[in-house]
Amino acid sequence: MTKLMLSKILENEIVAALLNNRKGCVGLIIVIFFIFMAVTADIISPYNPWEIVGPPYSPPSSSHPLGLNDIGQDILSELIHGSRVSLIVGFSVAFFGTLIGVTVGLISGYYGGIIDDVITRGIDILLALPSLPLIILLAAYLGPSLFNIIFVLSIMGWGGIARIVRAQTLSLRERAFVESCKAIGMSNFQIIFKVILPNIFPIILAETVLRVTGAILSEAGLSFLGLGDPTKKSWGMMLYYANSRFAIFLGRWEWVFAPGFSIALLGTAFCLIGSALDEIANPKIRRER
Amino acid sequence: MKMMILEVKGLKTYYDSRRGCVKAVDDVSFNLKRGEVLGIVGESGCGKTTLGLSILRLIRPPGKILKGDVIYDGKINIMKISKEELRKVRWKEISMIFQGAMNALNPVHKIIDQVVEAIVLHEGIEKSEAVERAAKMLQLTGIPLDRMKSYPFELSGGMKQRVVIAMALACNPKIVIADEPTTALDVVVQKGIIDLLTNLKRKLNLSLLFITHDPSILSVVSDRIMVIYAGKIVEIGETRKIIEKPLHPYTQGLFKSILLPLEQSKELISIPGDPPDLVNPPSGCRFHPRCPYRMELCEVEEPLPRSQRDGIVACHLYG
Repeated sequence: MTKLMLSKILENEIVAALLNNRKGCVGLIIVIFFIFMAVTADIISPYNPWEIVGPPYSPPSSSHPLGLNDIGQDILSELIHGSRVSLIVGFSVAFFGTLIGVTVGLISGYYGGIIDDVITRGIDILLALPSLPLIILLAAYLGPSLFNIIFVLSIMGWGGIARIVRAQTLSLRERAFVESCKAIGMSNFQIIFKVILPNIFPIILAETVLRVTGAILSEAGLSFLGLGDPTKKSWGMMLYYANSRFAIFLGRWEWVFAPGFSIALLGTAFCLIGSALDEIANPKIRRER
Repeated sequence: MKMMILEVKGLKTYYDSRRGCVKAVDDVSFNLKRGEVLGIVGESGCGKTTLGLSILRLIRPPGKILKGDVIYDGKINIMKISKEELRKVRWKEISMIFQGAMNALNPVHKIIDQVVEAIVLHEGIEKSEAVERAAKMLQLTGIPLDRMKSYPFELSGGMKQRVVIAMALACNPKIVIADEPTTALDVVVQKGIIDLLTNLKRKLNLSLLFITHDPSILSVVSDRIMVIYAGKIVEIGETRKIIEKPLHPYTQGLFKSILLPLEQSKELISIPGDPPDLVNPPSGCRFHPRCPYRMELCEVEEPLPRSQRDGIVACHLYG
């Protein structure tokens, strides 16, 4: 069963192309590592991250490789469980943001005219607004929960992709094959989703993956500011406590370093995959091998 | 059964531009007989393609069909029917081979799927049946079986053109409008495509509107030739007569400027001057600034199309 699934995944053209690309390969390995960590967190983490397992502020030891935090929870276990929030937020925000952005961009680019004018101005406003203060404001107003964070980041994060999709659609809809599909008698809906969408799919995919990084960083930022979901362990929240409980002052650098490094590593991994997909989709920027 | 399968009457299609109205098709009337090949020839930008698109009402803004009737099979006026009925006429009755086959295929779908799509949209039949028919169609146009699952970029220009033809014929239309089907292909491939079209025409009992800028092709394929200049018809006539003795000075110029098949050699003479500006076309006869036989009358009065030698000529010389 697993073997069958694995061979299916490996046969997938996109995955195969990624594995052939050095950047993509590295990125994929890192992401798979973290996904494995998130899925098996309950099994592989040495302790329950919420349980007080020793005296607060215990330095690293053989039983607690990263030491304990200010209330005596195991930092390694926190770190392992924290990967879940980052991945969930990263994937859902990228997904929903892309969904909104692609739909809006397709409609705007395909129909043109007043619809396009209104939507384009809307996107301009969205992109011109300083998003971080607004995200902080919204997150604070809606209250701290995982759902709200995903909601806020998705709502604020579709402008860029909508603009890219709109530009591509504008150019595609003038192409002869779109014209000929219209002549054949396809409806606008069919042309948009069956003809234009598949043509820009590679670009969307690359853009979506890059969005994951943005979402992971934003989530960490919000959690660091204390706006994260307090009922779920996340890397941002670990940084928040490390900062407010004087980790650096006490010389507990690994308490800061571990979540910070994890955020950076996961973010980099998605960036690598994104730019690898970009290279695959756009041979002009592919380097000679 | 009526002789005329398509009657075009007083068709006017203009484009709005910043400089003014571009009169791309200006009061054009002609008939297409059942089973004939009518060649439409003219310079670049004279309105040939616009005419083809207008017949299927495929003109998009800033273009606009202002006036005219296009009557299919004596009963359906394409200009007047609803969008829903139009969708039924398109492809099932009249289909089109688009200019530039290189770009007329969707690059991300397999060619057979694109033909299937056209069939499913119009015939309302099962997909498996449509696949069978699409395969038959592609085979008929000379695509080998093992290439049917190819993507357009895996095919040569001539093959792509064959696919586009298969798409146009997928729903058994009665009329096919072929817009420059051989342009951008090399001569040998051109010959193949022309042979294919003529064979299919005979096999499937089609009527063809063959749009091209190359009169020498028409001398081989068409039964009648229609010459367009600056959005207007200047001459219609039987192919042999037009080639042997063109009446309109523009037609004469056109055939003097090319070497026809089987012609040994002759001095090629180009028509002096440039194609006219369709925003402000010349007064009177639109050809008069370039015409070697121009008279005073030509600058003032527009010549009306007149019957001449079982064709039509619009020229004051034959008034």
